Amino acid sequence: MGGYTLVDPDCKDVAPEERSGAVLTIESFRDDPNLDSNITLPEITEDEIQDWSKGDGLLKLIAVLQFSWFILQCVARRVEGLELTEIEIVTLALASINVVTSAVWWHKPLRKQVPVEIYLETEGKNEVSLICGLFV
Amino acid sequence: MSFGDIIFRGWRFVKELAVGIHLNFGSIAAFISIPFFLIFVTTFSFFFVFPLGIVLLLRIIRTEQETSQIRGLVAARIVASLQMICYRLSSAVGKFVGGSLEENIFQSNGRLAFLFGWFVLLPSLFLLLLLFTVFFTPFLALLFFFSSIFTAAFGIVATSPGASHVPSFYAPTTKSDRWSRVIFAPFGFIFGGLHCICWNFAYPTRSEQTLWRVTSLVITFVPLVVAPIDFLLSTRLQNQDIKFCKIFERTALISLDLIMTILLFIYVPARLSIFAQALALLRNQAPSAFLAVDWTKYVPHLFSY
Repeated sequence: MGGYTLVDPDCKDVAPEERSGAVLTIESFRDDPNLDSNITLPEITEDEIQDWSKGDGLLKLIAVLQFSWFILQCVARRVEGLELTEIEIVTLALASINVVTSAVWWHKPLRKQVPVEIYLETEGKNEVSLICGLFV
Repeated sequence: MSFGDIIFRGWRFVKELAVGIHLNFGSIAAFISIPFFLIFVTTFSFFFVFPLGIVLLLRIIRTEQETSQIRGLVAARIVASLQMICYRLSSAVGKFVGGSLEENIFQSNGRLAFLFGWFVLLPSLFLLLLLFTVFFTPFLALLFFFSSIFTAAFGIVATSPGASHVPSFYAPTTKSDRWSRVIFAPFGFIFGGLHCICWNFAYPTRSEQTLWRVTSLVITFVPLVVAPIDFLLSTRLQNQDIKFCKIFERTALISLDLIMTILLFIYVPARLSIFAQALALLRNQAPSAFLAVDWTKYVPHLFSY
């Protein structure tokens, strides 16, 4: 998750890696009620977020198929009367938890690495440092 | 046989010896020899028999069958030897406490019991102390290692003021946070319960079976205890600080917190240990564990005769 970063308007012309910014979290809105009026949140559609995401349905499907296959194999071994090893049981336990995690994270965009930059509308550096507790 | 018993028998042994010296060599000889004899008895075990005992133990361990089966890293051999020492010592102490040694060897021999107490049991205790120190150092090192991992992990969760990225596992704190503990209980229970499938598996040794059973039970039941306590604490302390609670309530909450912390300190090593056990148990598996499932059996044979 790259999230949003609050960027100083003076930094617009600076190279991206040298820009000073602070992560915009729910806490920063909670800490400063005036923050809302100082910025305009960009309009981002769900499709755009999904486009940034590094994990697509196919990838998730392959993962789910793999651990379902593993669970099926464990069950089949039991039915066939073949010995199960302890490490298979440990893996089975982890895989079963993985099923739940995958279900919950199905729609979560994965690994967006570059944050969305939001520029402050009022004065420059001092304002940013005031809001975000930054020492620029 | 209790420790007091050993001391008593030892004292009787020394007294008999003194009486013997007194009768044969006169009272002055007895008077002079007894302190020397006592010093010899008390120090002999430390300076001579104790190192000898260690050498002997190591020799016994080296010829142990379990250890000789391991063909691998030197570190693995050392760990196996240390485990063997622990096992031997604990079984020896167990037998001693159970009185089986007394029945077999020391039924009518007070002197032998005294010698055993001073020259075997005491050096063993020293060896235990030594082992404790040896084991304690890596434990401390591990503790520091894991605490640094925790710090690094929390660095991924929390945002620092100057960060340019939202951390990977960032989630804002919400009012419904405490319900995550309620989720932890059933899933933790299922997760641990799956480990309990191995309850009646064939294990190479009985102690490994017991270890697996105990750790899987810990993994199963600790979430069931910890989750309600955590939920209760977070609900109770949602809007107020513990300082403002009444003294009884504060004591109750702190003790619950303590119980929870202790249980989590048991849970984490149990999780690590069960994984290590699963890897270690690969060394000895039933032949059918190496066979694959015959899937063709489950395919309908429509055109077969």
